[in-house]
Amino acid sequence: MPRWGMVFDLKKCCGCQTCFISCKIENFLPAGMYWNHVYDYETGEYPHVKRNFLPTVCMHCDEPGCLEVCPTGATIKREDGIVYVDYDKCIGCRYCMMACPYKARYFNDKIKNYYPGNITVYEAFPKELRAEFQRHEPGIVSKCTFCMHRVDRGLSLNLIPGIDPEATPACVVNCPAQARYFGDLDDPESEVAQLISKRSGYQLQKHLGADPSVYYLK
Amino acid sequence: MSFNEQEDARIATYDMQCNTGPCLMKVRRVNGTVVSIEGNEDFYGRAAARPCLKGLGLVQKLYSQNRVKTPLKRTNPKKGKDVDPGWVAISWDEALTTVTEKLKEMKQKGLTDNGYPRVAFSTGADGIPRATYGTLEAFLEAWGPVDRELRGGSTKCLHDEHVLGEYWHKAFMNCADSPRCNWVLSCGSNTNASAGAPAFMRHGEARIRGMKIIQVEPHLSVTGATATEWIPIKPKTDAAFLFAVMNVMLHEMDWQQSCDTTFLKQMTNSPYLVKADGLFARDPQSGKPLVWDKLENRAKPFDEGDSENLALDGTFNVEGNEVRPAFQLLKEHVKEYTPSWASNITGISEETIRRIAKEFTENARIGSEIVIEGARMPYRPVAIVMGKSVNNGVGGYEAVWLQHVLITLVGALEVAGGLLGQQVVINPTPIKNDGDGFIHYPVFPTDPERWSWPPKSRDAWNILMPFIGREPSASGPYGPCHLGWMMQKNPPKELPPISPPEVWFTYRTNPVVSMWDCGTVISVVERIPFQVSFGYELDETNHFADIILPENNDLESLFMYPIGGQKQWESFWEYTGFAIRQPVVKPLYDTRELTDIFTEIAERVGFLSEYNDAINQGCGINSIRLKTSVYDYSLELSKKYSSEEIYDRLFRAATMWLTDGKEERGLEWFKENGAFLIPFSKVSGLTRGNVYRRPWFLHPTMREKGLRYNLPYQEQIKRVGEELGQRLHEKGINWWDSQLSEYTPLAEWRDFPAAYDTGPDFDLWLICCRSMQYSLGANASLPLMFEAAQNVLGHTGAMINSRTAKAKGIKNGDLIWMESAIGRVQGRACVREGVHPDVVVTTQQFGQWKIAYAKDLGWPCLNPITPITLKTTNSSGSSTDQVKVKIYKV
Repeated sequence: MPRWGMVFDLKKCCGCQTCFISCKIENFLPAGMYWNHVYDYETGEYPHVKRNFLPTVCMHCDEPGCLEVCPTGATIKREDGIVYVDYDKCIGCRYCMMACPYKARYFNDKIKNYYPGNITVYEAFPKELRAEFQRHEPGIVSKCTFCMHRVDRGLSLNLIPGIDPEATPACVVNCPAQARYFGDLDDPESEVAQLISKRSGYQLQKHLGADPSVYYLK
Repeated sequence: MSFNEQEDARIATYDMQCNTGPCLMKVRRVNGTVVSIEGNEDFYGRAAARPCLKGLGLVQKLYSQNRVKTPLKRTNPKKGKDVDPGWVAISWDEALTTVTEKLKEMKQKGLTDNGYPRVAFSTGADGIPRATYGTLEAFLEAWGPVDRELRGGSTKCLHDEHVLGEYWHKAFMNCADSPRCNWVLSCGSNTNASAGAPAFMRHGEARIRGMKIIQVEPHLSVTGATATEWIPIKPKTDAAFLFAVMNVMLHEMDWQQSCDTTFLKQMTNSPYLVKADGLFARDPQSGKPLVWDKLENRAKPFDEGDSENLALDGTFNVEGNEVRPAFQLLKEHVKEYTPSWASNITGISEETIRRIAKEFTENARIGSEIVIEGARMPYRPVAIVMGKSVNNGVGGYEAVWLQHVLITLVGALEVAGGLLGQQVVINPTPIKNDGDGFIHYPVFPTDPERWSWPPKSRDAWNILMPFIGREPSASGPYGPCHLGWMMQKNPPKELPPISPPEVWFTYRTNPVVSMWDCGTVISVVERIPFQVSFGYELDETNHFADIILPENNDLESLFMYPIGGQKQWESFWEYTGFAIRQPVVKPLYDTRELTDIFTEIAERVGFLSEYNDAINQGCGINSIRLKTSVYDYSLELSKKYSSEEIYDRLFRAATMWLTDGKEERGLEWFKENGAFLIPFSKVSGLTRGNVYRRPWFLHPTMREKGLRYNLPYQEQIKRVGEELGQRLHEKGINWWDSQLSEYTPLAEWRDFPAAYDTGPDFDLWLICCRSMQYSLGANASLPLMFEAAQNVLGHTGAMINSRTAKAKGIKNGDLIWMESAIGRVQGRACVREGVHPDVVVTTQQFGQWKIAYAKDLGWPCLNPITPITLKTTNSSGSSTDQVKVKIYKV
């Protein structure tokens, strides 16, 4: 069984925010809901300043704190490492948000359209044609799923996630800088494993022991 | 997981919402609804990049509730910013009848009594509309004289680099050889915001490879974020910095070591002998410029024998005249521009200037060679690139000259690793010799007999700017459009009296907010009797229109566009060809295909034959002729064709043209496949007849043709400038004298920042940076784009250095005024460290008051408080997004 993971190459990321939009379009995220961020911040003092870009998604931790605290079992970790929320079980208590050290979860207070008073054809796209976690409802918590609908559909078509675009998360496929990689962390031959090995990939806040499935390259 | 899909199609098309496209993509349509967009991996990396967020955002752009959904007619004859136009929906027939009647009237009237076209047609900046505007060029060609200069942003582009780049090395764009370059000095080139998805890919790969970028700019931009080092500099002082770098190379270092003397002797005019009058010494018989052969101890024509023994320095005597090689003059010229001198002007330390000069020369690897596609050429992995406010306006000529001279000093122009040209627009014909050993360039004649007088448009570019070329779809539109507005408000008495156009078309342009001094622009626009706007949404410019014609959205329309090769910024594609933009969905509203609109108007007005003929002649549509000796897809002149019929023929002609008659692909094939490609040579490019697509590296062509770069000495510029001055003075025009003073053979430092001074109260520079998320995308009304942009540091406000803010009592988030000599604008302070203490930075291009959503953002914009003035305009007709201000809390 693979363990799906993502690698962000900070040397390539140029802060364009395409991943941010790609995620929103792919997953029908309503106005104000974000699963994918690129933080843009400075360190140092003038004139010795560095500006930094830090992309983040749900880290799909191997030891997810969000899972332990969920009182209803709505947060589920699959055998392949993907952590997702079962919307039917989520009661919106937001314990998981408190427990997530990476602030990667979002509470859908209400579902907002982009154009107040109007719903676009895209926003009105039938929910029965969407993946389950794209059927956004108010009062529940949601987050990045590693585009598991693409991964699962791809696998069903004998495609390889991380190699075949159709089986790979949208933010990876759409990154114009090719700063994102996806694949099986447990396969030493995979591109992600190779990059982590060759370029000393690291996890954010490793000391917390959550063992994220997202690695960074400096 | 349920996938109850009935239709799930992926349609190949392209996105072009910035000048580095098109990016090829596949649009996913499920049951008739566009649900997502991805890059077209069939072509990714071969001829196109992945679309960025602007491309993906087309989903919202398509379904936006703010679109103009039907033709609109103004019912309120009064025009003004605060006046309700009284829009009413009308039929296409009524709209086109109204437009047609006006055009018939104009056709009958001809030019104004003073020779200006009565019809003006304005398109948006940076050539983006070229990828969308259908048969516009054929329409205008068939129509006749038209003023294309009343535009928004074109003098804010990389203007001097476009003009001089084409003049010196067929380079409308200049770019480091990103796949090979190791060290880049970037004077404000904001590639992460401006150079699009190809740059994201190229530069990402280059950084992994180890390429270093030294970013010299007043604020730490998104490009500075990925640079190796940020060096803050005071605005408009880049030329001083570069002069000092050159001074170090030529006077502190051993120039025989720091310079590529072989390249200088062989590939530049460095050995050309210059007389005391500043002109080249010439061979009496042939008229060719002379060089001095040290071995033979005599002067000889530049192209006689090899170049190894040519003198670069010294003083010689030719037939009683004292002459010196151009390089000797250059060396003497830059002696005064010391690091100490430059440090005081730029704020950059002497030590840093010396270090940069050292890194530049060391990384140039002078002497090394490389073989590409069998062509041996120098390998010089260094480049100098520039941002728009560096190479525009006063100091622009000087900065671009310095960029190119420094590059030639180390032999890094048009060779592997170095500074390369991309795209040819002004002079798009195959390379030929001008007689002096340089690339021929169509300089507008300035002699008494052939000088172009009177002005043909309201910005008078044809009389003022001889180096801007003669390409109808480029030279005018890339002209000094801000002068068109200025001269209508305050017409110079020496020019034939200027009146506004009687009919003004606008297409994907919004000068009412994108030009400086918006008040002046509005005062002119209000006086235009009849305005027709092709509209996607209600905006500040079509607010003044009489008729709005809604065209199909990008995902609803059809067009053909060239891709690949060295077509655009950061291209470096190994294939070239053509791509289709095709309807992914049927038009959602009562909009029309642009080509069909032009065809309809041409027929109704009565010039359908001329219009079809212009299409047959390849006018503007990628220069593809519909009839050659190899194929014939020409339109019958009197027949009206649908856009599908026209593009089917164009695709067939284009593929036959591309393959020299070997392969033919029609519209249906393109709809299925998206693009047609052939391999593209890095060293020879592509030439078909008189159409030229330049290669990655010009060096092999230059060597093959025995050509040199017309650098460093600008004899022709000096001659043309003197002649132009005579012509203008004969007409009593003295207000262009400051610009004429730039026509120097060796560029000189002048106090460029002083041109912006408006008194001691205005103590800060207000400058702007480009927004990658919005720039050129016409997407300010999309809330989706706002969500992305708010993640970008400082994007939403006025960025101020923390020390400056503290001194002024301003805290992060405070609402502040930025006040110039002509007005003030508000914005929220964003206190940062990565901003020079002398500047305030806003993100362009906002200040909308009509476009839905954008009008409520409250993001600051410098345009309304930046004057349109000759003081900051340079000889090529450009100026900059910069103004001196004072700031204070609201």
